[in-house]
Amino acid sequence: MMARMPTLDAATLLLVITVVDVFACGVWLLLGEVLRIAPRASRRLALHHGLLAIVWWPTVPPALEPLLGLPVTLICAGLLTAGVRGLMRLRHQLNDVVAVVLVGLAAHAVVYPDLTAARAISNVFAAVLALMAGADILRGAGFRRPVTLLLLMPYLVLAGAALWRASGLLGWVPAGLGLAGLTTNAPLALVRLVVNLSVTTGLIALVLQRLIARVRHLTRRDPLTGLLNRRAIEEHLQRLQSQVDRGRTHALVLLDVDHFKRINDELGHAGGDAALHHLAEVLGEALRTTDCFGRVGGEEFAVLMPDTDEAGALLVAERLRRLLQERPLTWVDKIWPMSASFGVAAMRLGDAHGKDAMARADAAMYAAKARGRNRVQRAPLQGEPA
Amino acid sequence: MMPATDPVSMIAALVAVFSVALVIWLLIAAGLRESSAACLCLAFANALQGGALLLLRTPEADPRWLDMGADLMLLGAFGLIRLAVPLMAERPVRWLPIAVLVLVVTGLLTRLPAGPGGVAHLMLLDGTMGLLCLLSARDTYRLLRARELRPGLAAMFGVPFLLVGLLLLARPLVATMSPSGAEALDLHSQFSIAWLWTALVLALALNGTLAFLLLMKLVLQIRRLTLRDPLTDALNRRALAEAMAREHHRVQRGHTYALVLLDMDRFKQLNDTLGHAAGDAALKALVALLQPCLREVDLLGRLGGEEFCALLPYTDIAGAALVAERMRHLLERSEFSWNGQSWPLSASFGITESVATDEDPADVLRRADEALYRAKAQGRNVVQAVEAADMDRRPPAGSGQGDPVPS
Repeated sequence: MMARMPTLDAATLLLVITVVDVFACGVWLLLGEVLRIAPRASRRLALHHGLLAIVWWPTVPPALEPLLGLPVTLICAGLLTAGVRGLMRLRHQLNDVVAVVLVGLAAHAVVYPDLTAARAISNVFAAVLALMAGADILRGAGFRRPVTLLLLMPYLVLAGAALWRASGLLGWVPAGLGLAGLTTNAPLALVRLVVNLSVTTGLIALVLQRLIARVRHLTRRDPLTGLLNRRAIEEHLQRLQSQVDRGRTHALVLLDVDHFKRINDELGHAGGDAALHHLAEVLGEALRTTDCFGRVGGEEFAVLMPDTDEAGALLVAERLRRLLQERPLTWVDKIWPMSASFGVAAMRLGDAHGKDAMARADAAMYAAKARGRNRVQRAPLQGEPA
Repeated sequence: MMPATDPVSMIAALVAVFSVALVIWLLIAAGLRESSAACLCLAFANALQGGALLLLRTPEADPRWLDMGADLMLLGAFGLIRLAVPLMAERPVRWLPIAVLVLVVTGLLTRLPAGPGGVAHLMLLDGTMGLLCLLSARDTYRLLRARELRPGLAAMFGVPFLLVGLLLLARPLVATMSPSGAEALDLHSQFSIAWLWTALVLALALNGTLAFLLLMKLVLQIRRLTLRDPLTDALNRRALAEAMAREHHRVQRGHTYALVLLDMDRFKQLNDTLGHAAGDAALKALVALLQPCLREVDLLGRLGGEEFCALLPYTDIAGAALVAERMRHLLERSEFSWNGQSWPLSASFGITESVATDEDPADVLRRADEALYRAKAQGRNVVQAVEAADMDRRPPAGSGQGDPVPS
């Protein structure tokens, strides 16, 4: 296998791995302490790389391996798994990780001073911890499948190599097929370098993905109610309009809370906020998942209903109106009745960005206000008086 | 004792670093679709650097073509890195001069003898790469400073580029001084070994810096989105409330602060007459007009709708009155028009100052609200002040609200 490749030097590669670990330690410290991104997980990962760099530093005497090298490597593997879990935010408790590390340390103590057994134990537990980290990534990473599998690779390689080496040490594979240790096995050291680099950079890609998702959420959501904001609604409206132009039927409902100023004056600004929250919750429960529900202004909301004609939208709007009427707002110790006025419009062919549908729904909503509020009004057809 | 470094293993390690970086930048560009252009530039830059290293290591081929290929790849890599920094910030980039520079220099390099004794070749190649790096260092520093990062921190992230640049410039210098030392990368010379180590550390640092630029951009974007009102870019209500709470802590230590509460007049009519888009534009214009009236320590926030509040630290009611009057005057004199239709902008102002007996910022805000109410009742486009003593004499809340308020 090595015939055509130039011979590599394991000691040099090990030194490179150490330098990479020192660098990775710095990166995680910077992320956690300066940028305050996932500080706890970052600290664990920084400690993982920092300790590894110390253990693998070439001037550490080999005699320390059973006492210091192997146990610390095990703790490092545990720190990596704990760090990955912290970044994934799946669950907070680390009992299983701590338990695996403690059992591994106890096993080390039992077999001391048998170096071969200690190395086998270290590898078995490292494999278990790498697989645990991989499982967390598989469940927690919000990437598409192929990307997640790519991120998973280094952990699988790590676990596979560790198990191979352990079985060799335990004499389970025929002599000659076992895997030599990093210090004498240059190809393995090169693989380990790639794995270490991939683990750190992959986790940083994960952090980036979290931040990007947060930015996208913040730019599309109304912070008060958690509904879509006006920009997101306009984007959806534009998308639906292009579908209408291709022959589909969509409708749009605009609604405005009745006497919102009075709520604000009587219950205060916090009460007004609670009223908007209440409305978002009550109406949100009644809508389909395909409907786009958003807050388009102060106390004005919009619902985009795909694949719904005007009659259907009128029925839904009427149901929403009744629902809101039936479920008054409870604020501190007051029960405050709420209602809204609804304007319904079907989207039409050839309407630029759906602006006309929005204007017609707005006009219908004002007509509903003018006719005494708490009612649903259909947008007038062309030429028909409002 | 540190073990002796094997140059071949070092080159293998460098290629491994470039390969992983290539995959990760591609993943960010394609998988996350974030700053795709910049990430693709970096992916290719890493691929080119790794390729150049491998080419230099390939024996038995026409060395002339090999050298040209490696030169072109290296120059291309640094050209791409030079492009990536402004692309990361979504700034316009001028790729044409860089492409021309890379091609012209490569063309010139084919005329200069490479290999042993090719000091001129080395000088031109490394000199160009070093220059590109120094320019990237400058870009990084300016970019981070423009994002209001502290100068020290901004400089720290320019340093990797600076070091790579200086390192590249150092190679031809060393070659001039001792012509036998620096020609081939896999010579066991002290300089070659040191150069390879530095190249490794700086390859890590360069990729790390660019990843940091990307992270920084996202973090600042998130901070902006959580603290600012997206329409007007004034602080949002939560951020202003937090700032007021911080300021209020200092009241006990004798520092007063003042609030200027303002509400745009006839905003509903504006919306109804000219449309919601006009209303939004008017709010933006209002903030743009008012911001210059404030000092750097003052904060302007949007409380909701057409209501804004300016927080003025270390200011008493007289100072706040001056600020508010200036704002009122500026707004009154401003010209706002929408689709050719002009609309007079004005606002009503309520001002107050904090006193030691205020338990929390809400007490101060309530007085400012009362003052604003009086201003509105007086016929708008006026400034009204309410002091803590006035509030004590005020009839209980709710009953006196219809009365015209003498001033």
